[in-house]
Amino acid sequence: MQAALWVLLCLIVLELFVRFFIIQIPPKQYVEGLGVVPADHSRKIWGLEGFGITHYLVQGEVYTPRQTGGSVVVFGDSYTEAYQVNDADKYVSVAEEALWANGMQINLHNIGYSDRSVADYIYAAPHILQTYDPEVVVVQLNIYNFAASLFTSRPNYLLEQDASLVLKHDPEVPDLRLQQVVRQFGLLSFLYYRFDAVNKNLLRYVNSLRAPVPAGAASAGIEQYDDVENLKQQLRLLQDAYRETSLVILVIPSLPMITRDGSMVWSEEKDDLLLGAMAEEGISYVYPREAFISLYEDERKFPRGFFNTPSNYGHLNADGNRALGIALANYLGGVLK
Amino acid sequence: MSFLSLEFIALFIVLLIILGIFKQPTVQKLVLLAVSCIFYAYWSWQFLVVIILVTLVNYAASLKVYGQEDPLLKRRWVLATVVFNLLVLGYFKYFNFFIDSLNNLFGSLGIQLGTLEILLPLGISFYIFETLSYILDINNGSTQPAKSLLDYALFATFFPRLVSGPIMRASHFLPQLERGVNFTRENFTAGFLFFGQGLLKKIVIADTLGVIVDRVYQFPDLFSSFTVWLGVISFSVQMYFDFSGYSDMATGVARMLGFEFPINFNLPFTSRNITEFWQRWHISLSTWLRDYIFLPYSRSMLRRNTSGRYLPNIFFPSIVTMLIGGLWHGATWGFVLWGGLHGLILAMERYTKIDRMAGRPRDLKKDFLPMIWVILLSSFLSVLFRAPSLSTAASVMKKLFFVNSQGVDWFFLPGFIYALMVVAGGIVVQRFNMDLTVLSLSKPQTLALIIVMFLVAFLFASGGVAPFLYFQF
Repeated sequence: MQAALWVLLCLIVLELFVRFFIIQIPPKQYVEGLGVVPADHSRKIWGLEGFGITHYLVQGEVYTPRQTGGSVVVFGDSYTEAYQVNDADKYVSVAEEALWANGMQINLHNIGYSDRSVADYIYAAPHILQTYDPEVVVVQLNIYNFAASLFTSRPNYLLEQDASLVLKHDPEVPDLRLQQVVRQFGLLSFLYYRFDAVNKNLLRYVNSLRAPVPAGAASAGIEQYDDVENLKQQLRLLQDAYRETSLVILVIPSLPMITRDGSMVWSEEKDDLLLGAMAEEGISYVYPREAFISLYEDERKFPRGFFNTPSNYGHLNADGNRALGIALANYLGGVLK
Repeated sequence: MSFLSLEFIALFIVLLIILGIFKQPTVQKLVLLAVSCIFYAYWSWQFLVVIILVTLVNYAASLKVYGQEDPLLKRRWVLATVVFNLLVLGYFKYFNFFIDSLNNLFGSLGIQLGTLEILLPLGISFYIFETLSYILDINNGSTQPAKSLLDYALFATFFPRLVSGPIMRASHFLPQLERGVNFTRENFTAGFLFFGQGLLKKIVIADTLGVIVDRVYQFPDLFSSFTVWLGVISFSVQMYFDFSGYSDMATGVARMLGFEFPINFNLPFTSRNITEFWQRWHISLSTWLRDYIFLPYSRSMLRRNTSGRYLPNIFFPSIVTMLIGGLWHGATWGFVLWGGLHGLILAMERYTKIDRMAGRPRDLKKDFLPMIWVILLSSFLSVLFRAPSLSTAASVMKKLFFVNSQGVDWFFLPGFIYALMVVAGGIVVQRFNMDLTVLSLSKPQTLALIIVMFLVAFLFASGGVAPFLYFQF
């Protein structure tokens, strides 16, 4: 009995610590036409990479400071959701504030959610256009979002049929009951998250016992994606999905790259591949390379990395979000005038 | 295999089951020996061949030395055994270093000697030092030979401490081995706690600190002086938690089987000078160096000149001992320089009598600044230990002296917190005279502690598990 009490006491202390400083995952909901998103008026605390508190409005929209004005949607993945920083520091919020500071009353709708693919962006187009009636839709993506579109295990994916790509949608609504139980407790959420990571490592280990995995092949699916023709096909589908509005692609530079000898490189093959394809398809894009260069040259700061992660690695930190937000605001300022 | 692998867990469970079934001491020892061989051979069967050879030669030699009445012959046997052990160590660890150094020295004369592809057996530095201490202790009468080849073989290969120490003395460990496994609930619980403690130290703290350490040492010129200082101090702390974490895990595994290991770390960051630091850091190595190199050398110097203030008497033993200590860690000039500088500082402390501070009662107000100084100094010297090359060490040191101090500021909070923890925790333990080595918790708290330890380790472990730093020695 005494042992149980001691265990309970320790678990409570750990629960409080985890809940307020490490991880608090919001409940989820399924929105028809969009997919699984955080529940209305919920909150996420994330302390595993940086530290950020993210508030959600309705239908998965991330809070931005302004709720009135002209409508622009910024549709993206975890870089746009930016749960590693607080709401005011996310690049969408920074861009919105910069526009308002310049007298342009625009409401930027942040529809960022982790692990999206181009197929998800295509699928959600009718919902986005109907719900927000935007003047401009900014789709944030990089090369990996294109590769992810081809995984048939996802709810939305692109399948090659008769030499063209077709959007497929899995009509099953995911069972969120287990997740609803888990997210009640910070400790359970954390365990669930860690177990998932360990499970993936375990599977990789078990598979390696069956057949040796050559170096670099572990994530070959995404890392090795360089099919230009497929890329262009996906871009055309995306363009077609948002033909009723102005579409702008926002590509977050994978820069700077640091080579083995410690020198800085300001170009990345994968980025160039995507930019080249967009230029050929006549798609407008924003690629704020100069903003990132300036961040390093003038302020000696990396756009990525946090106080608890490797430097220049992972998602954008507050400085990276700031540079990106200002670059986006400058572009939108020109387009919306 | 590492303690942090599924294979080890499986092997250990099988071992416990077999030990539970077979209670005869000889059978249990045979099982332990078999498991130790499997544990070692898992890395490479060739490593096992080397250690078997070393074990057999040393055992035969120990009997010859012990039974030898003629002092001259006895001395020759000891010398031959010592030379044999050093040749084994020298060949596997230092041959290519020696050849490369000669090539660098005489390369301009057109002399280029070829190096060999030599695989370094894991833990060779540890077990060779153990066999050396065994033969020397038998020679000076401080221990008797093992009662059987089985006991000695188990002493030489006992798996919990085979690859990263602690360096065991026969006088302490052989009697335990001769007695055999001592499987009790108390031992198992205490061992499990030690293991959990080591696990936390390694995968939660040490591996997390590796994040900033690896980055800073990879690209020192990119970062600001502040970041480099944080990285350098983080390495000191990482090394402590990594190595003491491994020692705790080794102690824990041994304790679960009923064997006691000596303490290998005793709050080194509460040291007031470098002399005290070496009394608290990697104690099994520092006492080995003291007993088998420093003291004999000091005595022989004193026999030639009895003055305690004669400078060579003060400086030579410390510097030579620590040069050997540096070389023990690795076959690079960085390690040699690291050892030599430590030796120089030890000698200077002896000369200025600062070393006597180690024996003074503790006083937090007076000791605080010396403690900070020791942390900074040992961290500064550890640059030579960690840097992959002397040129990288030079780049890091320039930053530490604020030459070209500009760069990216990266305040890696875990590094700062853990460094603070080490200092503050050490102060608290010292202030309240806490004995951390004996975990005398009552049962309810023990169970809670075990659960929380493993839960925290699982939750907060960094991405992958990095290899233990001292495996490379």
